Amino acid sequence: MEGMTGQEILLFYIICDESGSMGPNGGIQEINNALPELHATLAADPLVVDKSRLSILAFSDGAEVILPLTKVTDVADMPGVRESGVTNYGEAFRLLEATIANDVDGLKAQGYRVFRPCVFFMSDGDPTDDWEVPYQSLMAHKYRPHVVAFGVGDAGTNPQHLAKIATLRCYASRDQSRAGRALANVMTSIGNTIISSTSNAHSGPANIDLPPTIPDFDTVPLDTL
Amino acid sequence: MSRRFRSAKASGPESSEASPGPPAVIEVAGGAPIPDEPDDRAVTARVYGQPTTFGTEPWWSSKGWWKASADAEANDVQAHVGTLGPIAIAGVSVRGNKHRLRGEPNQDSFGVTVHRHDDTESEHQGEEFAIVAISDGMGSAEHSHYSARMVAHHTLVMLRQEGKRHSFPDFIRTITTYEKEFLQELTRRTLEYRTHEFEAPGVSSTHLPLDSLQCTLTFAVVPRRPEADGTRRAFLGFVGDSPAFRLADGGWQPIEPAKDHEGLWSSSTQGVLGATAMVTTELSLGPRDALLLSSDGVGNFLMFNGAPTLLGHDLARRWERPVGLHDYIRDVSFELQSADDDRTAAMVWFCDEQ
Repeated sequence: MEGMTGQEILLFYIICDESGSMGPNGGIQEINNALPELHATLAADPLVVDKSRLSILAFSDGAEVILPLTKVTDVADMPGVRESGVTNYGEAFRLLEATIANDVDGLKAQGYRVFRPCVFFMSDGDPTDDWEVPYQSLMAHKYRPHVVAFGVGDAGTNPQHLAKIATLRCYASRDQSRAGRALANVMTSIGNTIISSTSNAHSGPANIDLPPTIPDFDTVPLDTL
Repeated sequence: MSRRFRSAKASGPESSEASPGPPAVIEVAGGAPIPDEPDDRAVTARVYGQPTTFGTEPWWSSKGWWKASADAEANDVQAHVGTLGPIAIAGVSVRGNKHRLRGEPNQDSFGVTVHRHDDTESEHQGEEFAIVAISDGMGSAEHSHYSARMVAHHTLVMLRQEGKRHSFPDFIRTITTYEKEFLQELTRRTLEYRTHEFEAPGVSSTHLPLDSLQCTLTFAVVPRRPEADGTRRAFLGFVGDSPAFRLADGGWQPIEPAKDHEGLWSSSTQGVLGATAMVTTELSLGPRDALLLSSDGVGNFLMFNGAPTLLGHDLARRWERPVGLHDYIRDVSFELQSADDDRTAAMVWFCDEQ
């Protein structure tokens, strides 16, 4: 490690549900509207630019990294999501585990001091696959992330699965009919969380500074084991 | 809406890049002739690794990243140098980028003093010591810019008082024996402020949570006169995580003090206010060694995984012997991505005749 800077870095992953139901409820459109705004917000903060990296994954039948882990100012145009298929949480967790492992190993090899990653997982529906095995594998990994979950639509009405997935906090939308509008609030909260957490992160475990409440969302008690 | 993102860089996103290899230390003036009219946008600090985004703008930029402080003196730079005989001491505290961005003051502080043992009955009469204390406001402690200054100040005053009464061995014994009483008195003095006076909080400390004032303390007492073998025995105390290093043989050696009396770092050692125990250690310093007390805004970036970082390697070279005040301020104002906390570094050198 000699000759390295020991620079500290926080990693944030946004996991977007792009299943078929996200089209009619306005979720796809709202995510695609909000991502450029999120990018502009983060890129305007000089501490976030230097001290954090952002990645975005989308999932439905399968999962895909639509924004590889990147410094926000290295992105000219944010990617978008598009509706298709079902809601396979397990595909997202499998890809997330491999992606985080690769990203963290790469950054550590370059001499970075990497804080535990934080995942923002958002969905409008119940899982349609056997998600628990890949989730447990993700959580058993040495780079297991913190997980914040956001439920809109059906997943807001019945957030029992998301409450199992979240490790830090689970938010559930009260208004099933306006999933798109709810996701706009989610994106704003994600931006604020990234800025605050990045600014406050110093030696020792990083605190993820989550908002105590999000407009029109309830905070769901996390599952106890 | 495109499925794909578009990179602002020709080479694509970071994770897909080949490793760029160790970044070089960039000397901004780097051997080039110094211009007659310096570029007023130039970054004057040394850059380690990639330049910071914050550093790409001058402090007066319309982006407003470097905000004046609304509540207290910003203390963008606090600096002292001085000698006690052959001992040379330089201390600098610099406001961190995160506090500049928020318009908040520097929450680090430090102090330097000297004292003389005055007991005419003692064989140690006339012995002199240098005392250095640093304090780092903890986390989001709202009033710690004030308490850190007070803790550093009162520590110096209290140690000086003890040093006047006791020989050095007795001094160490007294502090370690009565550490609880020492810390209680330090807390009492720090919390007994007059509201609104000299940046003190606007309400009494009895109406504030202690967390809003909490800070660390690290101090060192160094005798002016060396032992017969040329070494000096320094005494250090720690409450919290502000680190100390010995600079010897061209490298930084973290001073890992003995644990507290229970062999553990207790929660009470996280912050000095209300603490009942501190960690103390004695340290032998050779005539060519130097001692650094720092806040974690500096100390965290000197070493990584047991090896010196680029910054650590360079400062070990630059600070092997005393440096000029302005050079020292520039050194502590280094540019390094993510090093955005307040920075304090107090160095103690020995300039004995060889």
